[in-house]
Amino acid sequence: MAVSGRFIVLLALGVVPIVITGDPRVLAVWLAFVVVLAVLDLVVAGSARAVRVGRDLPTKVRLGDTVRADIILTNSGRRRIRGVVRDAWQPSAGASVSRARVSIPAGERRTVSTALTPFRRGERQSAHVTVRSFGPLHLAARQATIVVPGAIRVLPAFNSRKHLPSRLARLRELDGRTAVMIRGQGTEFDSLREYVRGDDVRSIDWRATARRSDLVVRTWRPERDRRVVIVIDSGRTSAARIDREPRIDTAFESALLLAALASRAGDRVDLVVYDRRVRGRVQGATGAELMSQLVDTMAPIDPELIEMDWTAVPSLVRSITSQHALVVLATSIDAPGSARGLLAVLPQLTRKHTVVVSAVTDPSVLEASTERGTRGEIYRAAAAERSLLDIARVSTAIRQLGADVVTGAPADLPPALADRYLALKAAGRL
Amino acid sequence: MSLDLEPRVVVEDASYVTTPKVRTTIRRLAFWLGVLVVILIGGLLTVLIAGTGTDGPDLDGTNASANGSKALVQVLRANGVTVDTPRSLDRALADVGSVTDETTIVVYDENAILTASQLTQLDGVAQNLILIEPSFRALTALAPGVHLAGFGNNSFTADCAFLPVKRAGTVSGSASSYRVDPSTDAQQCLSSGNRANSLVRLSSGSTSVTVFGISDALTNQNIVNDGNAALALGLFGQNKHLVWYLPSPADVAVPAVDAPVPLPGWVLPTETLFALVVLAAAFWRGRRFGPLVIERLPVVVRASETMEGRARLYQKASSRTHALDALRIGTLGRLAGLCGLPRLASVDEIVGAVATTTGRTVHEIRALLVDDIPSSDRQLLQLSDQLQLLELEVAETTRPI
Repeated sequence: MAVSGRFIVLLALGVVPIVITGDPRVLAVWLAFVVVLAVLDLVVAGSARAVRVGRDLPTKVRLGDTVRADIILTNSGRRRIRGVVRDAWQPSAGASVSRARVSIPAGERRTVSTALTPFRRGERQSAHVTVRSFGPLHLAARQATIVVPGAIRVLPAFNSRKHLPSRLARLRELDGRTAVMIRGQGTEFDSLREYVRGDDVRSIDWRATARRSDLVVRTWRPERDRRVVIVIDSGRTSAARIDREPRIDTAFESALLLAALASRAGDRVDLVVYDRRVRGRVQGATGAELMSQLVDTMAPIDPELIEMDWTAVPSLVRSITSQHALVVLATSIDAPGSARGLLAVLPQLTRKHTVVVSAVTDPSVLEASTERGTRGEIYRAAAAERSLLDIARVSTAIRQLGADVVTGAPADLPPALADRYLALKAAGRL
Repeated sequence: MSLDLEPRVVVEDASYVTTPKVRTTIRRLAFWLGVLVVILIGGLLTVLIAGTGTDGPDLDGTNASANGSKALVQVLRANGVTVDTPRSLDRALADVGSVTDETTIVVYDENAILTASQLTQLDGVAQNLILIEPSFRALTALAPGVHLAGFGNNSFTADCAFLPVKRAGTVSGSASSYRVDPSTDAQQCLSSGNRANSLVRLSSGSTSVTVFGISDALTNQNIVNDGNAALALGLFGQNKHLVWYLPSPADVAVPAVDAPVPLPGWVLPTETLFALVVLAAAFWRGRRFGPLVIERLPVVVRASETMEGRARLYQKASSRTHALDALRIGTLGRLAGLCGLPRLASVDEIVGAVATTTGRTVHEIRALLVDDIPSSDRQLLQLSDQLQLLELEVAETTRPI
């Protein structure tokens, strides 16, 4: 049960008869009057327990989008329900209003809609709905909490998809290029076509030219059906925020862009999210199915506060593919000390695969290294230089071990990684 | 609102109510309500049967607890002494009655309630007046010439011819002691040395005033120790009639007070009403609209935390050389890049290249990039500024046009 503000005002109004009559007994009379009214109101109010609740929810929403979440209230009681309903969404589900006024006649049903704009990735839930049903005088209410679980999966935003069209255009440019311009060991023969002015004379296929009367050149296309394995570090360093975005979210963004690009280019993409156990795995999916599986797998993963176990990564990659593959390790390279585990296993990976280490760098560090106005700032600049130096040393070490490094600010890393992929593809190194 | 590309899921008839019914709530609370009722009834019965059971005042003749004197009074009664235990001066004077010469009156004014004029009313009303631990005021009024002398010993042996003391042999208990003017004629017993005694007896004609300082020895707890009982019976059983007078608040003279101005009749009910309104408002606002919602939140760790921490560490330790080294190594790396030197170029090579590029002397450049040691933060700032300027200069010079 609950009371309304009106009940309080009515109770306080008792001061008028008390002061006018000056009789202490009026207090008791007034209290009895108010209590009787409230009890009557309570008795006449429709039973909140008689409400049955259903839900109408979308299963998924992309982070930043808005969706409509409905609750369907059926009044199975004998009296009309007038009151307030609260749908208890978690705060980060971003419900526009959590309370709605309803009036449901007996035996009828009503739908209450809430707009949800989630501001955090993952599974957002609403466990229960609370109904407060007031009587006709609106003095007192019956209240009941009704359990009706609802959940909505908030997928990663994939903001970097804006970079996809330009990269796809670049990919198409690779198609049909003559081998000379992109000479490398892995390019595949595509087709023969007529020579046009400007083609490299070295790509003329003399045999085909002899068969026909025209000059014929060979065209090449980038290799297809290569393997791309993305390993995302979900250990403690991935929880750190850069530009108000956890490292793991940037890793997800880059992985999504790379996967979208590589699957269009005809390569097979596999993903593992790992710290000390496999937190998420997408294997053997292609096309649209791949993207939906990726976002679905990524959605509920948050970084764990444990150290990444790099020693298991080579066997993990081996379990995914025994062929040569592009292995992308999305992690952080902060200091030689914390990168030791990564450096120790890199040779095993680079022996067989092309390895790219993708790491987010903090733009505020770069900024701090140039601000040298005051005494405090100078020490800050020194510390910033120091950490830049650390990153540079780790990057050098990684390059020495035969892997590649891609770094960038959170907004720049996904396109940078995509560009590196295109470059490798063009060079036929996949 | 965007288009919902994903399919929607409709769930119905899967809900159930968790709020307990009124009946269930009452049933759940029934046990505790029962416990409450039992406790209340039990408490009430205990009070009714055993009384409130609080300790009475010290040396009260009707108080049977450790600090009372019911034992002494009972024994005196059993030995044929009529004992009255008045709690007010009027009552005490009435109990003494007209038969003054067969009466002993005992006054134990622990809280110094009696005023000087009330005390003088006691003067000479009975044959024996015994003051137990009297105040300064009582001594002045009733036993002139006797003065307070602080605390005395804790045990005494009979040291005078006064019969009750002699019979008692030894007396124990924490004692106040008294000193008597040399000019005053008094019998002094139970000495603590240094002319301080705990029993002083002044006689004038047929009446006597006894000042007794060991109230402790008369309590139910201690009366059985040593010769306390013998002393007490001898002291208080001198006459057939004993008035055991303990002044109480009833003896305090109350000054006349003006009749209070009556409050209007509505003030109290209004106050009560407002108190109830406050309670009701607290319930109105405090009533939760369903249970709290739980959400696991991620920790917020800023990646630049390490950098900030290291900066504070440098600053706190004023470790200028460390800081400058970091800045110099950074600058050297960038200068090497600008001058087109390989990443592994030595410092001397970089210094030479920079000197050639800028046209400054090698010595000057080397001092800035390697040798100078800052002795104050001001110098550190200057050096860092010079480093930045040098970088700019080299960048300007080497920029292809």
